[in-house]
Amino acid sequence: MKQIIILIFIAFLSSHNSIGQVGDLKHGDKVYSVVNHVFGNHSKQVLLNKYFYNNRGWLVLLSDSDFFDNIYGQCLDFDKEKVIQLNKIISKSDYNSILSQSRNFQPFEKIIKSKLHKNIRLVGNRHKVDVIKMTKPIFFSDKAILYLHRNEEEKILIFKMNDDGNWKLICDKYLYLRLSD
Amino acid sequence: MGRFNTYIILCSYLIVYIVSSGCQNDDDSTETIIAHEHDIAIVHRININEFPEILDHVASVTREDFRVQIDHSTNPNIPQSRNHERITNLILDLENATQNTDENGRSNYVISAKAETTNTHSDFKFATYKLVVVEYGETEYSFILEREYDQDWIASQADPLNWNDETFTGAIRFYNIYGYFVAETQYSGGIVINQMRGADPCGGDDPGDGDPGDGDGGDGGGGYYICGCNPGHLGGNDNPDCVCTLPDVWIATMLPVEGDVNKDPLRGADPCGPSGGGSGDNGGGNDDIPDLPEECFLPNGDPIDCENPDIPLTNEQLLENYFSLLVILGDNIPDFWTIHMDKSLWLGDNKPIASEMLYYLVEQNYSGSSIDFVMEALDSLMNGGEVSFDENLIIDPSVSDCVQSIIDPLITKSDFVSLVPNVPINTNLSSLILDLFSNSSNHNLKIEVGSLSSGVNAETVPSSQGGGHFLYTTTINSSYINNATDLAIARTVIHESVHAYLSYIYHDQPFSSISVILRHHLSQNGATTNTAQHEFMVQYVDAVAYSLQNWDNNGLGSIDYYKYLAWSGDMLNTTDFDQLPTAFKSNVISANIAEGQAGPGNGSTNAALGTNNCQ
Repeated sequence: MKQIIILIFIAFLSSHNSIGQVGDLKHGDKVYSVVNHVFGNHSKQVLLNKYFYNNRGWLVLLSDSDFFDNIYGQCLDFDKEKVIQLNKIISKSDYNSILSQSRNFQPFEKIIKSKLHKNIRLVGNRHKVDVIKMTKPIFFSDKAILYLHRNEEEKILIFKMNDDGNWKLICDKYLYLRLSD
Repeated sequence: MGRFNTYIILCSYLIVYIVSSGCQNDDDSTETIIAHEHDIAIVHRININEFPEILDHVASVTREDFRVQIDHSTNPNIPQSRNHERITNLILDLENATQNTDENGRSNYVISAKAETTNTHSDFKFATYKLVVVEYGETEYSFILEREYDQDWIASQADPLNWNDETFTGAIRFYNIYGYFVAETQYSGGIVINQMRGADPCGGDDPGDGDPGDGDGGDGGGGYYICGCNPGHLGGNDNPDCVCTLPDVWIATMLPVEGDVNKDPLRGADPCGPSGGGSGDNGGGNDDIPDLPEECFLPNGDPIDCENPDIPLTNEQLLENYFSLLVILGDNIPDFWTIHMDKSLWLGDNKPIASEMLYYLVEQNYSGSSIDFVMEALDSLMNGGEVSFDENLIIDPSVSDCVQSIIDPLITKSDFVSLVPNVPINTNLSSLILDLFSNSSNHNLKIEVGSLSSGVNAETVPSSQGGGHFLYTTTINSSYINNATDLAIARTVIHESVHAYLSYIYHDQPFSSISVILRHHLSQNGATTNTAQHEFMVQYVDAVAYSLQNWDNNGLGSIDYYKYLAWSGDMLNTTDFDQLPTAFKSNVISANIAEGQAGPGNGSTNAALGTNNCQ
């Protein structure tokens, strides 16, 4: 009986702790809705590093709209069918909010496997060439931004939530892209 | 390169000329020292044939048999009596020259010239001509000096062999190396009585038309000169008390970079262009090259393309274009003259390429990307690479002649006929792609050979060059070249050019159907761009196959094998490939192995149908 009580207590603590890891449950859902949007449609298995990538260096690129706009890749307004500049997407206050949220990035923050689509496989922090690393999405207004790193490309992705609640990629800026073979 | 509709010219010279023809003229001594408060000039009589560098320069700026010419019509002040014939040809007397060296060791070379003219008017008889070559840094430039003597002054000379130049009466005129009037100073008794700069040789006075002489910002003027001497001498300039026997002449001719788009200075020595020079365009047409006859033949009888006549440029035009290019690069690249002197010198030795670069920059309206492309091209060319300005394509020096021979036919548009999805039949894939880059001022393509990871045939990397300019660099693995057949290499170049093409479209035309489909593939493939492009590229298999077949002149007699090879690299990991018949997939894999591993020591050599000749 004593063992059962201990197990229940451990289970309670464990579930409480996991909820605390992602903070607000709604926020946690948004994080994984973005992750699943990026990788969930892949017909093949995606190898994703089991930790969110604790990298903030790319954020400096958001401070210079002109420079950012000149990086390969485009930010698009699909309604008006035109290319838009970064400063039309991220305001000054948005930028400050993004920086503030990035301070909460934790080293070795685990990605919760149970919240991922089945085709996403979490792997250890080994340098397999086909393992993807991504930062935890940061949210501002109705958008989310993240940095994605794999062997052949490094890019910043910005998504906008549609009226139907689905994410849509509106901006991909490639810090590096290699198309091989 | 075709004709241009944009008027530009060029040149900014700063000439320091320290000599008086009178001081060497008629002087039998072999050395004369001319001392002033501001300079010392040592004059030697020389034979230019003994100065190879100067001789080379003179040869580069003169016509056949060392001739130059003066266009009198460019001098609005010339007496009607002198204007009997528009052009006067001057024959240089290379053995009758002087070397004039100043206190800094810098020399000018003054070469006597004889006029070829039918003009018998007495005014004309009392003129002498010289070509002056000025050392300027590591190079030289030239201008033409005309000295017209007053007949009465000559008659007054006590010593007919040693005229008293301090009392010179007459006029000294300067013409640039193309024979256009720059400036004139009139003397009476050794005193300057009048000065005239060159009038606008293009006529009209439209601001911004680029004509020298309008005084608008773009002109820079036809030239000016100053005496530069101190009070106490004879002669003078702005200061009537400033006099000098030996006028120090500074000539600065600044012809404009921007101007009337209808003027084309690149086809003739006429700075006003062939036809659009306005009401005052002197002669308008091409001074050096006769108008093309209807039959479109060169004067030597060679037939030429009437639509795109490729008429060789004269030495003068090449030099003019060279200076123009340097001015443009100097204006657009900080510290160009200090950082890139090696490029300036290389261009001086390769003036036809400088002309081609100039044409390219004019066509691209001197955009930042075109400047970047020219500098990148220069690096490649100076190291033995090749550049196609028509195609915005750089072939890096790392590409061997053998590989080059494989690539060249791919960029020869008319050689191939291929099927491409969504484009008209009979449009070649290579042509389509290269057309795209050639029509874009912001996207350039570069092909090089380098060391890549084992098993990788080639890769293409788009990169931002800043300012909205992008370079797509295709690198072919050197080990692959050692092992692959020419057929496989050609296939790989086509394959990589499709990557460049898709990357270009994705950025430049983000709402095109291609970009929409690419985004779909990205969303279906974990945002993996390489995979998305290969999934998309499946549509191009037939186009690649037909392009390859045509490259090979259908040497294999059937499209089948070319289709096997059109499937390559990561295309073999696509969903579409998975769904192909097993036998076909097997043939694809076998063909790729045979053609990709045909080097010595590979067991598959015998199975290859291409030739492994680029080891």
